[in-house]
Amino acid sequence: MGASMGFPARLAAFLAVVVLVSTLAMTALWTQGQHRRLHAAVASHAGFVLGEIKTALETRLNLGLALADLPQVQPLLDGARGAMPAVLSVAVLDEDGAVVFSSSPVEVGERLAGLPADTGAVWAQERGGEWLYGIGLTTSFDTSAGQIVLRVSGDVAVEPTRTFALKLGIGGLLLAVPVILLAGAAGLRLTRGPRRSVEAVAETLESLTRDADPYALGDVPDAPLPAFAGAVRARLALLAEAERDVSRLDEMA
Amino acid sequence: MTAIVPTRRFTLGIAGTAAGAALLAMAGVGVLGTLAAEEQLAEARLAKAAAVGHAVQRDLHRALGHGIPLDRVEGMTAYLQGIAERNPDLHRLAVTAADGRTLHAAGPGAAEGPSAVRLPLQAGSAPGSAVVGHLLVAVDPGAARAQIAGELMGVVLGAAALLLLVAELAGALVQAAVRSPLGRLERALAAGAAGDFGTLLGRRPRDQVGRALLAFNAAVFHLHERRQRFAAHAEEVRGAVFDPGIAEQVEQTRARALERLGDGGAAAPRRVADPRPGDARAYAALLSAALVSGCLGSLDAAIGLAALFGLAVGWSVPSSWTRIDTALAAVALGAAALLGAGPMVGAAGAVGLAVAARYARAAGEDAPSILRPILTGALAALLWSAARGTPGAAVEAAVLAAAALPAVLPLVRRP
Repeated sequence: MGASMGFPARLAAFLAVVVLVSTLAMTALWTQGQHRRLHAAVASHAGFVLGEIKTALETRLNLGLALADLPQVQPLLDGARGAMPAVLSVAVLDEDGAVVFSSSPVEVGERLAGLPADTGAVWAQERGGEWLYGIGLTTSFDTSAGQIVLRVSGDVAVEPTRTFALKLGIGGLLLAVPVILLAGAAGLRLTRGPRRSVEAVAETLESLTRDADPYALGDVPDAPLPAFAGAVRARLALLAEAERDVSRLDEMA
Repeated sequence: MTAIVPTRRFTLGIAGTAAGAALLAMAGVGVLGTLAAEEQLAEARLAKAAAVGHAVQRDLHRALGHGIPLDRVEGMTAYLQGIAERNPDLHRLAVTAADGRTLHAAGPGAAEGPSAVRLPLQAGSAPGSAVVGHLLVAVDPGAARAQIAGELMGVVLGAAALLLLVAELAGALVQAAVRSPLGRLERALAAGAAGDFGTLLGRRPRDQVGRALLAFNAAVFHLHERRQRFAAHAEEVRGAVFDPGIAEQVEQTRARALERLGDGGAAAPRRVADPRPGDARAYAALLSAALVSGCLGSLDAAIGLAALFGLAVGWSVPSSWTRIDTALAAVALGAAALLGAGPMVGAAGAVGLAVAARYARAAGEDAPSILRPILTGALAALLWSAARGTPGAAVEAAVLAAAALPAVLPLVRRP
């Protein structure tokens, strides 16, 4: 592959690859960062929604009612869905992980196993392409009464991230074109000096087979080229002289 | 007068140009990324601000429904303060009267501006009730940029990883394409100046360097051809003349000329296979980066043992297998990384690195010259992994291993 391309072409190709790879790598890095930031924004939004429900439910729990007997929970959960359109469902779980209330009626009675323990803070867990955000419910006696779990579509950050990646990728590639041209011009300018020097070497060596003056070219590179050219020319002169002698002897005979 | 082989400054210049181009491209992506990220994050924050606003609006409507005027709602400022403290990404919450006066407020910023949600507060629940004020929830317009700036270290580490690899590969390119062949030409010229014309230089692309090597070969071959022609002509004349005296003189002229020409041009010049030690550098840097990327997430004793086994195998295979070995090692490493087969990643990568190191050593390269690209590749992989925050990135390992494949082609190329 490399054998068919000269150095300037290889350098230009290398610089183009470097710029394209750098653009794509940075796009990937920024996209990953943006995905993380968008997730944090979604988590923050979910945290607020969960906090609102928690406050409302704990106020009612503090009246001494059991979790399953709390009134007006369904409108609260439906309102929470309205506060965050990406939410698939909001569920209130009892201490055993069984869904007691949910904005999606089919979930009521289901048991959600493997949820993180209640630490008093909002937790997040990825499960089956969805994100679960949750927070514990505490009674006024500091005992756990269950959890509130928000189910959010996994696409909530994926779709904006994809849009971001596409936007950045296209913009980056458009920017890459002038950078490639600029780098190519700078690279070729850098190679100009060595190219001239090597051209002078080539012309000096080519002149040895043409019986021309190797030093008529001006800027000829330093040793060992003059010594080599001298050695070759001396040998060629010696051979020419010996050939003349042999021809003379041939004619004499 | 100038030197035939470009100085190290030329190599540094090319490496600097490549690194500068990469930096420029990365900076451009960074600016675009910051602008696009700010726009998206502002939307996400405003969505949360709207949710907060609707929740507060609901509570205020309840108070207004009981006939309590907005400026008389007890504990309103403390309530808003509590929300602002629990949601530090909210810059300002404020309740204003119908004439725009601020009645209650919390948070350090201003409530007006493009990054704020403004919701009407109505006296009654019936549609068309009089608007008695507004609720404003604002997010900090500079918060997204501050968040991005706080996470810039990851981008800087990723950029450093790329720049390290780019500089190493640029150095390897200049070494393989310019410095190495011109160094060989310089040595061959010195040998010729000392009377040794027995070497022809290897094939090169038809660029300036290739033209110079071709011209050298032509000069050497021309000298050899002239010598052969003269010897043959003298031999022919000596055999053709009847006068023994002249035949003797021809023989003496021939012997004297050949003696003065020396032994250096007696044998036909041979094209000598050139080991080209610099060719292994790009391969070693890329494969080392792939190996470290592929192993980082699951480094254990099994991978260590597999790597040791790979080193032993790579060091002991016949040198004629170099090209096939290195190609197979790169393909196996890429495939193993994608499949998540840690020990196979270690073994394949170690085989490739051992073959490259042995090749460079056999070609007369000193240890630092091959160790440097290996360490550069490993360091670049570590920096990239730190930037991503995810060790053991399979895709990166596979891509780097695939990128190492073209670098295999120059290894042990026939002269």
